[in-house]
Amino acid sequence: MKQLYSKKSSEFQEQPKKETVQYLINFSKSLSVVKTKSNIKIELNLN
Amino acid sequence: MYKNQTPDSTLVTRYIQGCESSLEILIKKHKQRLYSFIYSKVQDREITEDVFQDTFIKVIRTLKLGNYNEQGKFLPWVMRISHNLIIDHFRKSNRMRSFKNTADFDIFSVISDGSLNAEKQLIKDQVLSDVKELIEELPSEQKEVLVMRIYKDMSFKEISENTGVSINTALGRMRYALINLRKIIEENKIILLD
Repeated sequence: MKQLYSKKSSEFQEQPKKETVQYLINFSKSLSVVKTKSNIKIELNLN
Repeated sequence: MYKNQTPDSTLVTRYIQGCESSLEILIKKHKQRLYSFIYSKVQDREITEDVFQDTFIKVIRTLKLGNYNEQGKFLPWVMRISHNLIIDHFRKSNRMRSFKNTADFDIFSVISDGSLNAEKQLIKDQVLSDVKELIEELPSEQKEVLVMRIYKDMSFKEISENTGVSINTALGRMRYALINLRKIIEENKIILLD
């Protein structure tokens, strides 16, 4: 029987790409916040 | 559907305390709901992806900076962030009408970008001003010939008459002026862009 829909369209799921989730996890790991002597918080992205 | 029984408030607290895997659980737990929510508003997968990513970047930064104070209401808070980002997106897209190029038609083939011309003009002016400064470094005889030729558009015959040297000498001075200019540019690693 002829396939009516391509595999890709049937796999459509309403969720972000794996790469996006992985990017966020890596972003979080690389981001650290340090407090200066004058109590100011500085974001450090240690990428 | 991702199953995790740990309450969000606990995961948030653990994450703030440094447990990175708690964030992964939070993202995986809520990604589908949040993604669907964003997609239902913007109806574009790429934009949804961007808004989703920006939402969690904001979540991560807020949590790490210790600015989160809504224990027990994590998901509504995240949804509110994405809602605001969606509004920002629509505001921006209203200000800037987007146009998608196709393989057959490129919008830049029919429109000219005035700001780009202004930018090019700015670069050109800067280059000309830099060249003028470099000319000042030349020996006076060479500088004199080069200025007459380039800036005053005089012929070598006129230069010869004005400076009291032969045409050949004027030509030679021009040649050395250009050689020396190149040398100054190379020695000082100057990059002139145009």
